[in-house]
Amino acid sequence: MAAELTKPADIRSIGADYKYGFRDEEKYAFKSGRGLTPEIVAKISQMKGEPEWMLKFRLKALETFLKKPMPRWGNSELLDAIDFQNIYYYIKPSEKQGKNWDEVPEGIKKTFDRLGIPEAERKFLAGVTAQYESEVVYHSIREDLEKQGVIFLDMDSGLREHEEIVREHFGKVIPPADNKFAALNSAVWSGGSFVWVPPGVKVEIPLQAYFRINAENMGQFERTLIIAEPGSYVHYIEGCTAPIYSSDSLHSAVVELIAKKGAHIRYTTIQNWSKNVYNLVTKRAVAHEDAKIEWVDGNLGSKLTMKYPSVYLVGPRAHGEVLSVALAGGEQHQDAGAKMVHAAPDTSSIITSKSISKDGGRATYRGLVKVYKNATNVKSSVRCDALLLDEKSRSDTYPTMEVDEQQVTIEHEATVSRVGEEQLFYLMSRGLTAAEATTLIVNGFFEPFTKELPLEYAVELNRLIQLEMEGSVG
Amino acid sequence: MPNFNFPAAAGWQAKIVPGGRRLPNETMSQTKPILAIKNLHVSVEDKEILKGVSLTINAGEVHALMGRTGSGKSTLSYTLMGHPRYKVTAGQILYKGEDLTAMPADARARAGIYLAFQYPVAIPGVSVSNFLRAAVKARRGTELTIKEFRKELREQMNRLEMKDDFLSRYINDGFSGGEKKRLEILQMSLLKPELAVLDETDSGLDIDALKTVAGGINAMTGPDLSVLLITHYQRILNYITPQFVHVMQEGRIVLSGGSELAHELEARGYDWVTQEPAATTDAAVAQALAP
Amino acid sequence: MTETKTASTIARQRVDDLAARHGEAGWLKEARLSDWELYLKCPMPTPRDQDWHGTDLSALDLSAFTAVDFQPVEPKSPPEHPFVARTLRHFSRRAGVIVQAVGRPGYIELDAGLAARGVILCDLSTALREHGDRLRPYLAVPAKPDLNKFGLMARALFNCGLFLFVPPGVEIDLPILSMALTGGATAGSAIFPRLIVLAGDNSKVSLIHASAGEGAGRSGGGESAPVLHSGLVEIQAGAGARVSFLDLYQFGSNVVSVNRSEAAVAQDAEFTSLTVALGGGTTKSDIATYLQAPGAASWVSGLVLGSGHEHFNFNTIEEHNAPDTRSDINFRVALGDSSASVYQGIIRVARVAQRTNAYQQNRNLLLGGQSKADSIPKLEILADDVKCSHGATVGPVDRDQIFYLMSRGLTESEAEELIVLGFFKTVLESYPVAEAVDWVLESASQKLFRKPSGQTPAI
Repeated sequence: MAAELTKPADIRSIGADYKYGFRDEEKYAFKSGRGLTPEIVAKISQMKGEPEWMLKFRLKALETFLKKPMPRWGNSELLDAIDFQNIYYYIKPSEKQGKNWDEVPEGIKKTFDRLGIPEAERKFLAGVTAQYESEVVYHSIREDLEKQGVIFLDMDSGLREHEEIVREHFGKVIPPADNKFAALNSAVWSGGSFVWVPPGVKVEIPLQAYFRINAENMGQFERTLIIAEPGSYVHYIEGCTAPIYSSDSLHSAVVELIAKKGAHIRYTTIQNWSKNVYNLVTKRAVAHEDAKIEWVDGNLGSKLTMKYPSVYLVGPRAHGEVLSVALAGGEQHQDAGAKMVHAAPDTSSIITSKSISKDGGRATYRGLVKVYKNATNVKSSVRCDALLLDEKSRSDTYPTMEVDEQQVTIEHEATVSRVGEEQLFYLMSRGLTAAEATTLIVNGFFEPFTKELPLEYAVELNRLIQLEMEGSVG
Repeated sequence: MPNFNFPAAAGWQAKIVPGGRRLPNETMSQTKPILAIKNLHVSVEDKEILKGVSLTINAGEVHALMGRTGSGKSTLSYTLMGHPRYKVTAGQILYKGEDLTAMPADARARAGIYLAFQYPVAIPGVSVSNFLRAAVKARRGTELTIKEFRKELREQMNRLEMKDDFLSRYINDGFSGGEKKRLEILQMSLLKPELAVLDETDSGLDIDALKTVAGGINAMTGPDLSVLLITHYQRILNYITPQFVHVMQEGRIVLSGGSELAHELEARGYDWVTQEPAATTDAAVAQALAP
Repeated sequence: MTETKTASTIARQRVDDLAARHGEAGWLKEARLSDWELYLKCPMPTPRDQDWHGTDLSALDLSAFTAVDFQPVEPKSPPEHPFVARTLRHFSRRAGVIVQAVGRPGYIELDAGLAARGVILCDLSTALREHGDRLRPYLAVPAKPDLNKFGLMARALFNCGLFLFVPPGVEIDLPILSMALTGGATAGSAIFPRLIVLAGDNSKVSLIHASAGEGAGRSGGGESAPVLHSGLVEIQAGAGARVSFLDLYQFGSNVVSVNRSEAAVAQDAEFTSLTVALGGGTTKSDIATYLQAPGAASWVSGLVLGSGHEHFNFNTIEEHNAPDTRSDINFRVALGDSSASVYQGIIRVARVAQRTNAYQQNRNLLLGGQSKADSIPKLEILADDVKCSHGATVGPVDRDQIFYLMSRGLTESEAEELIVLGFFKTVLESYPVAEAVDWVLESASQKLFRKPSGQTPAI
């Protein structure tokens, strides 16, 4: 009898070979009690020495959070399991922020060394923000950029040093009442990045932020605001990891991007939280006339991710793109997608989503393309491909198209399939084992995503995928 | 059809092989055959396709397997490579004396068997160069340096008149028929198999491409490579001369002979094989094989 | 909008009276009462509900509608009605006809040979009296959990409809026609028809059902209450059966129509369904197909042609519950003036349903400057060895096509109308009853060209 091509049925669970699962001893400058009260919110604001308007903003957002019910769509079972009173909302790891790595407390520095951040910074980054729990512990930007007037700060410093710009834009793209988790973030936000790129300045090398959760039941609520003035360009990359704990942590960020006339922002995320992290993030961009926004969004980790990067195309000829990949392993639900809102004529958008489900994981694409009246000559195309690696896993596609204008071209295509038997056989007939063949096919499936990443990240991502696929016995 | 059972009988091949030629069965005592298929029965989704195929190939020999579409030729090639959908229900495939039937495709490839697919499979997103390096590593067991690999690759690609941009394209994705076949032969030249099964490698090629591909194959033949060339038409045999020709019909090899048999088939068509009574067939074969 | 809270409570008395008036069997009354209880518990749909996606009927007070019934059918002569006449002309070759109407007597005919072979075609009241045992296994089952309030209301209060039974092995080559004329219904009345089709193993049948209420109860002012049509269709396709069903709606703008059709497809059976929506104030239909055994296959298609302020909301549900099943959905929507359409379609593939092959396509053509189309094609896949894909497009008529036709002398509107009919025709061509193609195209072109009956379309 001919041997069966072995299906990758025995792939190790994600947590088992998660190499970022180590944890540090807790030595914090401040750790709030569990749970959420107006007092905690006020305490955070006070410790940060914030202006009055921000305290009010936070307290009002807290009210909104408490009033808003949990969303009734998506994975209600997992959402309802979040115990908001068991979470630490604010942990300050150290008293001051380092401008070079030697100023970062030794234990934390070691962690970032293990994550390869200082090395990456030396090689190919223009600026780095490293956030540990609630605060940014390291921050740097290349001198030449600083001279050109580029502002790259952690959000708290941004608020202190550029209050006028922050006040004008903060919470305007994503108001606290947008959704329950945006409200939560608005109440307890801490850390994140503030980027302002002067008119015409093109930041050719990426800026990077790295987010690390260390404590159990931690809630990390960073807040990022990027403003690209007319004709400017910036590429911002974020990565994230956390230790493995038996109980859950919560990461709920808010990211607001504003691309003014002719500006171009690219925002890349490689999300690799451990499997006990809820990742409920609101990301939205506004693209003005001739501006371009690209969200490049990779989701590998977390227990439940709900994330739908959006672009509001408000100026003529604005362009939005979302390129999203998700890998859902055992006990993971990647509920990811994109939203494109066309509110001006001649705007265009492209959504490409690729997901893989394995070991009983569930990958969901959820998206919206909305075309308002008078947004004529809009072009939008949505393409979703899902790959199922075994019979325990699940794939869902929920796209929505709402079109109120007739002079438009909207297309949506989706496919769900499994790794082709013929493809596997072809590669195996050249001597590759079933596992190697599957990995190659999976890498190829993700290729449209990886080719958009800086080389170093692409290599790292392929390695991560390979790690996931190992143990698929050949 | 009892008349046509005889080719499967053991020892039959020896009777009609032309004088002066090395006979497969005669050489058995000296060199072990590289491939010995014995009474092979193969089913696909419970339908029997191969109904008792026997065939012996010795080291360095080139055999052509001819027959109509649907006669079972491609089934034999997939079975030799170990496609899981093709179930061996009886018989044996011995490769260098070892039974292959339980061996998965990748193990067969590493052991030196190569199949040039009739319909090479497209794998979007996987670049040819990545794939070739992985395959070469799997076959040879060691990884070449990028420089060595490039050098070897360039030589082979030049011979097959392939451009460099081939390497950055995705495996067979959007390839023309000729490009696919060239890639198959390129892989073969890099993997250096001991037994190559070429399944309709000539189909879909124009005459210039056919010459190039045949040239590539000829460059590799020799004492270290045995070839089973599966073809529907005689055309490729103008460029590659087999020592032995077999005709397959309804899942059996019904006729075997020397390279002249191919010309006979070309002239008289496959119907001749079925229509002629056995005795005439025998005579025709004898005639065809006469020096 | 002011938040007017409508109770929409139906008194139990109405169910009791209905059952008593028809002298219904105890099991049927029990079924009605259990659905009535579910109805009370089921909230009124809101435009925010996923299944309704913007369709707003929350202001309707369901309790205020008065149920009306069709008059009895007689085997005399079809009622004088332009729609009936036109339809019968198209289907001069047919196996049977049933015409039911509000406010005038109906009509029935059935090929005598078929009747002799055990085929049953009758109105539902007759069926409940004479074939209660056959109906019971299908009527006395609980409602599907996703049935909405309107569907539950129809299950509690259904008072008319039809029953079609085809014994195992009987193949009916010619179509059977059913026409339901609701034009006689006055403002504020409601009609609850229920169609039951039982196709035995290895049988073959085509049912063409048209609900027409052109000019129905038109009372001029927009203030008066609408007419409510809440229909249920239940189809059983036995093993190896070939069943096709065409459902055409051609209501006036005062009709609110909320319908649910369910087809259960058994082993190796083939089910073809075509829904044609040509008119109605608000039309909402859920079209569910359950592929229950290996080899079951379905082709579900739809054509929607909107004008004025018409609002359509179609929801196709395709459940693959067994291995080796296939489905193909093709829904095409053309919208003129200020009409609007929501199309939602879901393909669900159960874990056992390996080797499912499913395709879903939704195309929307926007003709009028104020028209709008939403499209939500969804996939939920739990088996890994499947081929599932879907596609959706929204766009205007291709200007190059218009230009090409105009360069041959057609006016712009003629060109546009021709393109719309062509857009529909590609779907219609795969429908197994050839006569239906012309009939549907003529109905559509009448609406497009606003021509009197009898003129053939130019396509």
